Amino acid sequence: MPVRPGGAYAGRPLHIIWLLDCSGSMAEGGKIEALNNAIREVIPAMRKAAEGNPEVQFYVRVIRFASGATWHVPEPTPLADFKWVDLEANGETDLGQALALLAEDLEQMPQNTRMLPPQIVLISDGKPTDDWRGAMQGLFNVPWGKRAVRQAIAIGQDADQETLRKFVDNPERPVLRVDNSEQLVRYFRYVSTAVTATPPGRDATPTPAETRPQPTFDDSAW
Amino acid sequence: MSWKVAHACVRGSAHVRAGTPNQDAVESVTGQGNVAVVAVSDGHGGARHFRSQIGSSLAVSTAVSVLETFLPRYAGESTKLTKDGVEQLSRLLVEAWTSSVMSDLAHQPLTAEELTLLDAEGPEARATVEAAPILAYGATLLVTAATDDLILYMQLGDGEILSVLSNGSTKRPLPEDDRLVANQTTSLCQPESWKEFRSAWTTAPHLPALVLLSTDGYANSFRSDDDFLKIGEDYLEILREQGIASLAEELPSILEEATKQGSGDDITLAILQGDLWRTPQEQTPVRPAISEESRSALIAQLKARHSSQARRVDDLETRLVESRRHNQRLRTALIALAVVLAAAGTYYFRDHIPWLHTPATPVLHPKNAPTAKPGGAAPSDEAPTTPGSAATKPPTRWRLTIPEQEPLTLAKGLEINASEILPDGEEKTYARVAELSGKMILINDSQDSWKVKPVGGKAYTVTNGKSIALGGASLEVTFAKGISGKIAPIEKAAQGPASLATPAADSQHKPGLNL
Repeated sequence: MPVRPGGAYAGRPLHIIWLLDCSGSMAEGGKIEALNNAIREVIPAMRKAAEGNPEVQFYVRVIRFASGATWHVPEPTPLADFKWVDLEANGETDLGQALALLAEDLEQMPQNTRMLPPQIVLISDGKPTDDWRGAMQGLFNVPWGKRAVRQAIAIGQDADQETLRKFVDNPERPVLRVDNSEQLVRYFRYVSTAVTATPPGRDATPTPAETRPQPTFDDSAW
Repeated sequence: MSWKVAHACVRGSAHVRAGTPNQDAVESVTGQGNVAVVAVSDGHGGARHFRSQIGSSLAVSTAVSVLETFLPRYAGESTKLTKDGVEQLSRLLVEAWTSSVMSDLAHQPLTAEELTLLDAEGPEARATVEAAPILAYGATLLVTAATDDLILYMQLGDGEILSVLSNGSTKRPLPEDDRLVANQTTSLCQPESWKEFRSAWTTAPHLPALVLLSTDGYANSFRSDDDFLKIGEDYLEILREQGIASLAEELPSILEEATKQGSGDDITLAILQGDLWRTPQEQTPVRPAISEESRSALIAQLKARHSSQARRVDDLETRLVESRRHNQRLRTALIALAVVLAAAGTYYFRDHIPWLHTPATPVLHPKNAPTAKPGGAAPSDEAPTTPGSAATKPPTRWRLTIPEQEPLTLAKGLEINASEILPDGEEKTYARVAELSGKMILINDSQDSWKVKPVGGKAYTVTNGKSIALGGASLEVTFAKGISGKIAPIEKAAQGPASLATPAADSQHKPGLNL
């Protein structure tokens, strides 16, 4: 007699995908170093938050975009096993190519009730240099692209917040503007731990007003 | 052969940790004419569906009651069941649920505390639920009803119904619904939800040995669909070896382990056991025609039964309205008396009251400002709006005046550039005027944290993505340091006929609810 009816149990998968701007401007003012450092700080915080949420299996992947877009971390990597390899900055800001790469991948993901909506975080410090509009529409046309929890962080005053807002496409999720490395760590940690701390079945957004970080405009480095 | 039922319903391990209730429900009946009915429901987990544990409980109790009446008509005459008959049944199930939700709302109107919790969900959530309180009760419904020669499956929303033959072969008797992805489901609370039912039936000798009904928390606990479907043959084996009574005792611990190691969600499983040893025969849904006469007779009977329930709810509502009117008259009289006494006292002590000349009229926070309710279906402490009576229409345009800037007329759809507010503002959107469930709002698209102060009211802060509710009151808004303006309604409140109390269709959930 089976001790337990059915096959193996498993937590529900949730894919986290980061779209990171590695254009030449990210090399200025120590921005790319700040981003690399922020990720090294954010990963342990995400793991800790996920401890309170054992029924979800978190997987992380990364797309880098500059002149063209490529998978920096191509395999969905369990959060516990994720190791960071530093990014380097040079080239254009081909956001459109990054969105197309993402849409192509999300289209392959299974459509079922088991998988939780993916979280996509876009971080950029400039204006897109390619045709991003068609690619963004393409992303929204993919079911998981549309259903994903999309968030964006704008680095410095030259970031194109309007485009980032169109990517997020939800007034409940503001584009977070950061002006120094300390803010980058704080906001990136905030959006990343919010998702790993949220139990399945509850929408990780919108952000409760009291926990939303308040932008500060002093101490600007970028 | 007689049908036997066992079921269990456990709170999700993530719900236990978060202190949230079990929102699943299950109910069954086995009895006269060897009829068995099992119903399972999953109350939605989203913040808007804050009464979904009541919604799911009403769903299973009304479903069992409706089918218990419906099904015996077909005992021994399974060939009479038709597609039209099942469609009518879908309507009855939804109407019965809706009536009992309305009745619950009449007894327990939504409270300020419940609605206040929605403010954290953004400006839309509260307005949507106030316009259509039925959303608070949102739930799915899975039901299976069986007689000696008929088994009927119906499902609205996510969850799983599996039929198992005596050779262990496990199938889904209902067609798949590809809209049920991730945390999205169709729901009893959406408009015309009866159209969302999937249904199928099978007649003897093709009846299954076993039917398993479960909420989505169970299937989501398995690594893959094949891992889940294996429960069919496994439960069949357990039932053959130890019997249903013994399994019923073990079910809660089986499901608790599943939620802990799997989805973390509430799990309900109901088992309908038929003849476990019957030689399996391939199931083919049989749907012969029913005579028009007997179908009409049946519908008339069901309608009569349903309308008597509806009349009871109507009576209840009438009594409630009467008692509210009475309370309102009493309250008006008391307020008038208080005003007279206060005025007399003030006049008598006028030389001793230093603040006598400051305005004493309370101004409501815009969120609480009285505006015409879309639909007006939300029960409240106010006197009920009846069709044909006059209601005040909220203003539709406001003037925003900022010193050293051109005055702006705020109307639906207006986008305001930063340069129109801030002296050094850039050419990009700073704020927008939008309509949300009949109410006008000014959305903060900027990174500035606005300080808003209704005249004579309490100040509050509006950050990026949040909004100001524009109502009848004038507001002082500090957009940034040293930049303040005033927003005042342009049009005077106009009189217009109140709309009938029907929930606004666009404010209710469409298929594919985001939970």
